[in-house]
Amino acid sequence: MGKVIVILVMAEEKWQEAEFLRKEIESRGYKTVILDMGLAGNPQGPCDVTREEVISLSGRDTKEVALITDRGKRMLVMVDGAIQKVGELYSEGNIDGIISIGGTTGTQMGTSIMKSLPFGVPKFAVSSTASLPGIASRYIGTADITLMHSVVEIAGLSSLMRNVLARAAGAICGMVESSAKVPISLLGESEKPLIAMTHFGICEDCAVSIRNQLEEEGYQVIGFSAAGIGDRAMEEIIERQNIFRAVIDLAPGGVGEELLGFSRAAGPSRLEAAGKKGIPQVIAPGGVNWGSPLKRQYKPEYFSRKRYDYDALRTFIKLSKDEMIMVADGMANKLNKARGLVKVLIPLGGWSSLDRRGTDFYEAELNRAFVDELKKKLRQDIEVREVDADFEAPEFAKAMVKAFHEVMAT
Amino acid sequence: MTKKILLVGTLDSKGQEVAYLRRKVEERGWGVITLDVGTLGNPTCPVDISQDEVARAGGADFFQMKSKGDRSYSVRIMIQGAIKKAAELYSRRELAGVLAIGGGTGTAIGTAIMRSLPLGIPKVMVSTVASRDVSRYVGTRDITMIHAVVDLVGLNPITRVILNNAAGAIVGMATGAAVVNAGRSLIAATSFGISPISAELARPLLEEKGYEMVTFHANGMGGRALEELIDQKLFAGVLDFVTHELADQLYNGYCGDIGTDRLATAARRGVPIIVAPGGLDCIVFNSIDDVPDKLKGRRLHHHDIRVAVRTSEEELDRIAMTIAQRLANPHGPVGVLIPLRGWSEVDKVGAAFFDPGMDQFFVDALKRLLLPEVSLKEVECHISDPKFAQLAVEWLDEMICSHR
Repeated sequence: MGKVIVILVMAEEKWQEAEFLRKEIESRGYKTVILDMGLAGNPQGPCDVTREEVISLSGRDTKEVALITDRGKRMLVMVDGAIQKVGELYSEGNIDGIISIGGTTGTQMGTSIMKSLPFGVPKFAVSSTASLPGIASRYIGTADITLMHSVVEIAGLSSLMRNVLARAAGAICGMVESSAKVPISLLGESEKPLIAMTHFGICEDCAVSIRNQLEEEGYQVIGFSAAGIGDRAMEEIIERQNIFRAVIDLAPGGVGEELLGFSRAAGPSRLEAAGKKGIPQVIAPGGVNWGSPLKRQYKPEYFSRKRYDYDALRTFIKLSKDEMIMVADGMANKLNKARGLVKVLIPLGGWSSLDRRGTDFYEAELNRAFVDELKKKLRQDIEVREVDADFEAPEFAKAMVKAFHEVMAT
Repeated sequence: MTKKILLVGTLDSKGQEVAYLRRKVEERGWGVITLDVGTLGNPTCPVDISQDEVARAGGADFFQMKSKGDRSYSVRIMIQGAIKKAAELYSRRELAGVLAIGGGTGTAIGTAIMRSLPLGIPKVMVSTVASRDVSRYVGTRDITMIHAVVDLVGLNPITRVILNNAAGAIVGMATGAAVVNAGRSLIAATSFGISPISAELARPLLEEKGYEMVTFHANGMGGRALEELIDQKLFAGVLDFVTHELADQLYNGYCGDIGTDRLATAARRGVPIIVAPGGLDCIVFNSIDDVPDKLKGRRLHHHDIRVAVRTSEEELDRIAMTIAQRLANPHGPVGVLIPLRGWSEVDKVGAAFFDPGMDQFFVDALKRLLLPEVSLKEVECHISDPKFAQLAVEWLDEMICSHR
């Protein structure tokens, strides 16, 4: 059976472009399914999955939807129905890749639909709004979505548009062909046990030592950047795909950032997925004592805090005692729900390369307030182990690896 | 086949990934040229264009550059050098596409190279920061961003899937890539959500006359892309129906990030252009929270979460002045076409912003400020009236024919 690529389009506006894409894709030997996610009006041409079918899959009927005047609510209906359809196709083995074309509305819907498919299924969005400030993160989120900027408005098959669409067709076909070579079934393919680990620039030495050690022992360590998106993606992959044997959470700062509304916020369920799935975890407070509010979020008193300009885009401020206690409390609540083994390691000599003991940023009493609160709130059986070293010292990495072996052995 | 895929990365930290990508691209029958933009250590995989060579092309000696210990200086040099190297390949017709891989810095370097290449050359960036604000990286260019999802440190089942997809994408694109022909017959037009359908009405009329039309969404980025492609001499003429971005630029609306070239390039490059006031009846904000307090008492229109505010006499006066300034140096025919019965779907008979009296201030100001060689015509209809599109198309066609 030929491989199938689904084309998502609002057919009342951009059917012509979808039809061109279909021909380009089929000329490369793949089958296509055009799915109409249109919001109103008649499609400009025939679609394999009609708007009516999508609506009925969402559990509504066309007349009812015609009465919805709120565009946003109509979008939800179409996304909902399309997710049903795409899910059906996936479970029948009838979808090998997915591509959407659209402006803001079409890309919003298209990428929402793509997010329902597992990691590894090629997902490609051609969008005239791919480059608008701040928009890409909304489209992509934590998913493996590829976003192509169409540069020109997707309206009519000019030679520019045809060139862009031909390349998009080539790209999705190329991706589908590639993914046939490296199958998506991650667990089956991986001969080595996979460990998820969070990374943060100011705790990188520790991460590197742990990685080297564990890889020497035959594990494979997959890093997620704790900048608010990568760590969120880690939580989602743990939740949805059973591939990790353990989690080494070096930089759970996304929990505090979320509580305080700062820029590295990693969502309300950060630090929860592994616990929920019963996967063992070793936790360390890498950079948890630093906050990264955006400049426009600054409260006047932040200017009196100890601060560090990390690069042109990022400034870190030290958390106050109250904030440290609040974050400890938040982390304890999450870890208390864990069904698997949890160990927390605390380096007494500072929690990042910036605040080593002896530097001006090292504030033992603040770190102590955090640890005391954590111990007070955590379940009795969750060990908090203090290590007399700084975060980036080889001894601390060694202690982390030792704790890792302990949780894996039980 | 002599054309090859240029593969860019910091080979000190991402050598393993680059070697893997190279293999995957080569397996599919394409040649690869690796270009090393690393500045920290030695490459960990075979290199075709070395750090030294890139630095030299960028105007520095690699070791001297490195010994300065100034990271942002090194990055600048490497970007300059890599752009030169890519341009050489392109001018020798050896460049089939660019594939780059990186985190924050790698993405800045990779996309800078891509932005220096013309539209139509396949450009794929595998990036750990694809899901952040990419407007600085992608800008107005046809760059494809692949979200790496995980950190690119070492090969593992997840990075292998991502890298494989990337190899497939660039090969697929390169295999299908046709060079964009800069035909004399291509016309650029601007459009916008709540504003007129003039562009759509103009399309069949242009096609009848043997032109093709390309539309740009005048939302900030679209306007900038339009100006850049006009500068590349891709268009025979421009129908700038929607100049709304200027209102947003002057009054901090959400489409205002357009730079100072908006509207000016066609005149400067001698490309015939018709300018209309589409959407100048309003300033649009991302949400009601972004509307300045002093404007909240005005007539408002809630589009979705976005909010439009009716422009005032004073604002229209300043917008007219800006338009006149940007059209002040014409090297080709420039026409301003004003519909007197409204400029958007919110500004028409019976709609909230309809106010021909107010619009008249704008027309009067333009008449006062425009150079004599820029002609202004008024039409007694709404901007979405078929008559308006027809007049615009006919006028532009005349300009193009007499300008040739």
